[in-house]
Amino acid sequence: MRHISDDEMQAYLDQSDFSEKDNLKHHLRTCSWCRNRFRQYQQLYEGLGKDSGYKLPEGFSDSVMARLSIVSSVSSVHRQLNVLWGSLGLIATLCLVWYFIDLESLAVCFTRPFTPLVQVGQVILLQIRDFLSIADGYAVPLVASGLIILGVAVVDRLLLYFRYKQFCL
Amino acid sequence: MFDDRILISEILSGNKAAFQTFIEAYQKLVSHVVFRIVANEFDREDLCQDVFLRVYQNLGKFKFKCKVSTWVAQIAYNTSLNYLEKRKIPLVDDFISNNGHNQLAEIPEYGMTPQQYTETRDLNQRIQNEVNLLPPQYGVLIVLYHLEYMSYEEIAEITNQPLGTVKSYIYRARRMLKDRLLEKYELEDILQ
Repeated sequence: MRHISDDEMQAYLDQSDFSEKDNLKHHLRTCSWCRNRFRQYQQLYEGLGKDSGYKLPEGFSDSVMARLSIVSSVSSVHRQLNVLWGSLGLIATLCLVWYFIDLESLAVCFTRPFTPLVQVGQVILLQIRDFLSIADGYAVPLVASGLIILGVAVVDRLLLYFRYKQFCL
Repeated sequence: MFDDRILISEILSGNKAAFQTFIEAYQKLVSHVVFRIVANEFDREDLCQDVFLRVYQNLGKFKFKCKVSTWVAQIAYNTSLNYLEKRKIPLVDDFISNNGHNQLAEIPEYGMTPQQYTETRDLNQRIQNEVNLLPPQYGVLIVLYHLEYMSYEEIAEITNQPLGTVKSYIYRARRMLKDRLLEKYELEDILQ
């Protein structure tokens, strides 16, 4: 006589599509060893279905809502700062382009019909070379300005991070 | 009873009270998942809050391809795993390691003297004590199945594991629980 395996008992108690239900029931009627094991599993299932007692404190949802409003305001500050830094960067780039690059020759190059790509590339390279030669005297102030902007951005981010760390995910 | 679709559309339209209702509806599920995986009681509540903030931030991306409860449990599960990963706390992968060692049998029973065990007469309490000693990976599977009434398929989706693996872990966990209970207590106590 083959005894019922643990997996078969669990499959039966899970009420899944267990095909051997009738055989199992019949065997349980005749085998006291399997019947005992089956009762143990029944007890276990019953116990596992009882709540563990772990509970979140009263007012948990209020705490989440409070944190949500802080996170939302921090996110909105972040967004505004991102827009500010992006705009400053864009303005700085446009100023550099306007001041150092000969836009007219580029415009002529692009407006000419069927300008070969090689020619466009050559014009751009020429512009870069001109820009570097013009910027030569201003290299130190340019690099210093860039570093200052970068430094301010990093400090700003760090301050924000430590100030709002506990609110951010 | 509320309709999840209506509730979520209310939340997305900016109704904060609707999100509070949502939290109250799913906080038990989230606590079941987080509390089973994370042992540190000081971090648990914060993590549960993190879960709901993530839910709120990602609610717009939820396309109702699965039950809301499955999705929320998935976020809770992943948030808890990220927490463990950040603190380099390992998840036990299997009860029986490659060399055949039974890791479950070696888990120390913190805070429970043999006398206290004897005093703990209530079978359900004993079962809960044993479930608490399960490695988190297994405890959470048991809780999702038995307390949240989730199917094996849903649990497989939440934990991103193959269905067969989930089934075999749960079966094995139950068998181990039963054997440990029988080892510790007199048989007639169990079959009272």
